[in-house]
Amino acid sequence: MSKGQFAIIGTGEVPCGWYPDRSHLEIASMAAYLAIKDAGINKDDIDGVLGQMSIMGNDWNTEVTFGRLPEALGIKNCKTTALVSSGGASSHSIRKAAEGLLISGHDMVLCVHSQRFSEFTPGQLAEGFAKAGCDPEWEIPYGMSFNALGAMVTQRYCYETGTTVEQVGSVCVAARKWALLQDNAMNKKDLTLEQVMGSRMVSTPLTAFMCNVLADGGSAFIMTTAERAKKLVDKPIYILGEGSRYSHRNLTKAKDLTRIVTKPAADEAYNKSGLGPEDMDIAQIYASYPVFTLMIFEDMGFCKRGEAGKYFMDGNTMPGGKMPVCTNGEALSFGHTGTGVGTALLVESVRQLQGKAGRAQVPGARFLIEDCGGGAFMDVHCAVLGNEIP
Amino acid sequence: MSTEYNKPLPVPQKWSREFWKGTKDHKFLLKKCKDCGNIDHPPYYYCTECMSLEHEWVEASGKGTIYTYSTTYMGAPPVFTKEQPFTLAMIDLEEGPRMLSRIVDALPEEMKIGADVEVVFEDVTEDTTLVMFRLVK
Ligand SMILES: [Zn+2]
Repeated sequence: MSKGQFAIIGTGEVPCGWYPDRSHLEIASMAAYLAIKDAGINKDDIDGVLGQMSIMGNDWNTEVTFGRLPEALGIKNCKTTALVSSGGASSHSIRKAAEGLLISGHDMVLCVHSQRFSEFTPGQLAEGFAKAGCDPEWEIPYGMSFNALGAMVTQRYCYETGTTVEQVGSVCVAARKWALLQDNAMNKKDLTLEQVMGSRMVSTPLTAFMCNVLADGGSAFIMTTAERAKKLVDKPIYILGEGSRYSHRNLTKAKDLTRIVTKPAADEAYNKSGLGPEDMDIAQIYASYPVFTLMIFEDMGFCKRGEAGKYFMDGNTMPGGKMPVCTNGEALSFGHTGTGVGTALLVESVRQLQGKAGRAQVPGARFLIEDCGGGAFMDVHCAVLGNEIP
Repeated sequence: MSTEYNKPLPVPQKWSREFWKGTKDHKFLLKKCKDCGNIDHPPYYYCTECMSLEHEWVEASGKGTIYTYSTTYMGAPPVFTKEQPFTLAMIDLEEGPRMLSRIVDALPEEMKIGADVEVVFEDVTEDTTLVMFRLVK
């Protein structure tokens, strides 16, 4: 990909939360409908439709694999449809798949994510996520869970950097402030640091409010080449630079547990875009657990190692702050939609840069860095996006 | 030992059967490459450093230190709920690899990063023995 070769021209999103009456297909159809209307294009110009793998919802994955989306969405000129999977990193892998289609004979690709967790009990979800995140032979027999994974990373990060658990908790407070500005966010009530620290202990040092909450949700976006995008919409959002790194499957094999692999991925994205952290108006960070927000923020170049906790605690990343972070409230407050957390952040990124972010709008936002990652923090994909090509 | 053990048991791969055979005899074995000396844990089909298929199983000292840990009070998968609170840890083995396991016989407040631990074999069923650790006090 060369700088600014591809662009996103429209996005759609459904409310995130517990909606047992809403099917996977309903979420996908609503998100796609909104994305097509937002881009203002004719649906018959779309010739590729990609669905994101949903986690635990295997019937839906089968539906997408067997071509449900183009038929249901009336994409008459569809040439290719496929299911794309990659843990929580799907907003990246689906974009890569879309780019592949765009350089090989397709004009416009619709990408759709849909997830329903409300069909499962809390116990099934705990078990399902343990199975997905942990090793069946070497971890699950010991009672490993996703929360324990996040907790162990938090413990080690605080030990190495001197960051306090309260500072980690302040990430959740900031996330909630942003979510309150989002109509589609799951959580609608303010959250104080006292509430975060005083909520029930889940896995030391993580309390209940420091763990994300699973939710139903979905979003969609439409991608095309920059050349085509300029003719179609007023404000195409360009992908200016990207960088990716894989680290591990089992967290015990992580290359560096308290840094994961953000720095090389972020540096690569900055280099390709010709921009640096000082040019970014927003950082959209896929974290799911607050400690990852801090370590990724540091490795994106916004703070020195060990200083992010204080920076967050001082309110710098909240609405109106110096450096807005996760303007949709992320998994912690917008809601954790499985593989869709990164897609929701990508969609919010596009809205921000198009000036369509409503009450959460960061005035004059031109450039931002976003990342997503998947599995048990197995990888990091950073992208610098902009509403102009610098 | 209980015949009603309802928690998930490891399902060995062909190349890890020796490990679980070892634990049954209360031996903690690691898969070591005969060509480059690399120890893979978890073990895989070939040596993840040099791709050699030649390996031997070497007995580990069973000693290590705690790299990180967490005590789970709630939210564990349902079959583990009754055991809460329990403590999981990543242990840096003397031989190099880092592994995840359970720390037994320790109060949550006794846990510390860098603490020395030693292996304990837990015979959870007639056929399966899990490798756990306890603090060296
Ligand atoms: Zn070797």
